Amino acid sequence: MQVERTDLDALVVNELPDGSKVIVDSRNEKVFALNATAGAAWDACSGPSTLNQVAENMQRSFNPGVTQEVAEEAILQLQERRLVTTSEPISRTTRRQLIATLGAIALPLVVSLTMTEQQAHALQARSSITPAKPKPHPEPLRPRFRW
Amino acid sequence: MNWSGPLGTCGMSRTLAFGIRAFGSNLRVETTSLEAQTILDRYIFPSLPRLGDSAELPDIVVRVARVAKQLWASVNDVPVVSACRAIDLVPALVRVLDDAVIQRLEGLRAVHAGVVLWGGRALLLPGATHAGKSSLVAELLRTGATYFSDEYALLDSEGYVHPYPRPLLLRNGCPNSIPVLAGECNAPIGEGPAPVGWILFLEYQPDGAWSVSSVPQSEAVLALLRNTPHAWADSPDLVGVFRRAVAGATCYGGYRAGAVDAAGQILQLVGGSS
Repeated sequence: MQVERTDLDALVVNELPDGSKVIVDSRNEKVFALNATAGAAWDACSGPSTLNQVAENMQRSFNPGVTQEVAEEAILQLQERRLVTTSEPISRTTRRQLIATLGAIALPLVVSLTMTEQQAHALQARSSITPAKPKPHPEPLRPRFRW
Repeated sequence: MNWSGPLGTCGMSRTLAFGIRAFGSNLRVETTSLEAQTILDRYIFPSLPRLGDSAELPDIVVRVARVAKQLWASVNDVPVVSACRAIDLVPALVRVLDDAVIQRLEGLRAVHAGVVLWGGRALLLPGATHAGKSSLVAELLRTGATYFSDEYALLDSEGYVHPYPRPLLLRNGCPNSIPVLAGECNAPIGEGPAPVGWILFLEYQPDGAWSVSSVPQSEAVLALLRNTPHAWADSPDLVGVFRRAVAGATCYGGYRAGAVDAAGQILQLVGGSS
């Protein structure tokens, strides 16, 4: 299976000191937050790669404890956000299987916010006196906190 | 209601006025009530210098006039609030002035957040209005922090936080908030910009226990985007400003209980990571 980044011309990628990444997709007016694990997977597929190569690259550059399941989950999340494409569908590892392989590595996580969603938040944040607008639905991948 | 009437031409006594230059906006405060003048002088951007009649045209005009037994306050001729006592005008006036000033900001970007300075670095507590930021900030001030704001973190292009020292608006268990000066919590007010040391995205749960975990800096950028009154579409620099702000910060998210307990936990957390 081949993994490849998509739409590179429209993406501006910035790495933060903790290894996480902010990717701005100007074409689709979206901003993505990748945690360090997902960020390492993004780095690992800088050129067309197989899933095995992604896992090996992540082991080399990020953490030797990265398993195939962790790499697969990271690529799956990047694919769901249309940041990468894969030549074949990825079967989702069950969460229990995935957690069992994690060790000290954080679960890969990709979160996004569209310009429209951000605008709704901005209107909400403007004033307690300005009539409140309904908040957009919370990010489905991150239900723990409502910030 | 036409506010220029009662203040300007209806035979009222002398207009008391002062000006303030606040974050790029020129404010003019006018009233014919001595009581209102004293209160407004005390609580409208209390740490900023008062200016006399300025030649510059004001961007924001606050007028307070007594009509029968009520004091009426307007901002740019839009009625905002009325009350018998001047002190009761303050919370609504402060909030409307916040809006007016924040909309006119130039070179700074605002995030809804309580902010204190601790060990030379800013601690940000992002959250919506009524999320309990002010109580938590007041508690941190009582434990020795320096006051920056109970409502807005103002970030410059380098990601540094500037003080926005409006009076704290505290509820103290009451439905209406009351204005409190940082000095009443024995706290100094921040004098200049500071780097962001910590960002804590905390959700108040009355019966909950303290439970926080570390948050990637990239997620903190998105969380700041959800807590700013600026639209990214109008301010394309937002992501860059927030990225620079979080770059030196340790970020956490989770739950907190009451302000006293949370302030203690926060100080342990930032003490341990400083």
